[in-house]
Amino acid sequence: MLVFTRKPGDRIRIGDDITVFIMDVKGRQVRIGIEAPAHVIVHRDEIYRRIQEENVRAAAVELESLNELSALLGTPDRRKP
Amino acid sequence: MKIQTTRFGELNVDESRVITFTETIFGFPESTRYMLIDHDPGSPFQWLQSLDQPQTAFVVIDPQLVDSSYRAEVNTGAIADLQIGVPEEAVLLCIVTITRGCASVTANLAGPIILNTGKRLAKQVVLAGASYGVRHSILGGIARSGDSVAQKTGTAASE
Repeated sequence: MLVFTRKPGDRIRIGDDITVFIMDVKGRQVRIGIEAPAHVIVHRDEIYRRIQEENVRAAAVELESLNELSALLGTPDRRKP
Repeated sequence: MKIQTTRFGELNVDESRVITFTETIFGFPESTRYMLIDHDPGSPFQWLQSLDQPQTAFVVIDPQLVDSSYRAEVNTGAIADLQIGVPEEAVLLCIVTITRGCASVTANLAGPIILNTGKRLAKQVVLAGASYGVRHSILGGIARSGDSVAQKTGTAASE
């Protein structure tokens, strides 16, 4: 990993078209601005991790669980004339 | 081609049904090829089965059935990646988590899968701007919309 020490107001360039701005440092919080082309996706890491964790939970669902759920949802319909 | 799966045994997969992920589902870097398997006729659920890993399969559902106002604003990069020309070419799927005994049934609305139905290309995207959760409870919603699902199926059959 490449590590920089930067001050508020400083910038970092990634490739030709991505700029990271160090905007502000207050105590333990750093405000960062990112300028990137529309096709570059920028998100907080937490949301990726939450989705990844949920994917892992979802992949553990067994066939039987969906059968159970379908039975649960399907029963009222079957009773209708 | 013949594929081994943990849940469905050996499957004979028609090449035309193979869905290729341009970027893999987060946490599953070894699976790039999947296929959709209908759960039951008329069921809103399908299985998205990996063709690369026998044990990897996800229950998926149309997010509109979970939340009729669901909207996914997708980055232009993803649209280009999946070669989507017009919105009608794309279908959204949400991954469903069902815990044992159906104690909790949730849909991941924050990380939908976008599928180009014609080109059979897909990827999972992150909707960070929207306030959708990764564990949106759906048990009540689906039960309530059960009638509309049945009506839809009825309409399709009578046409």
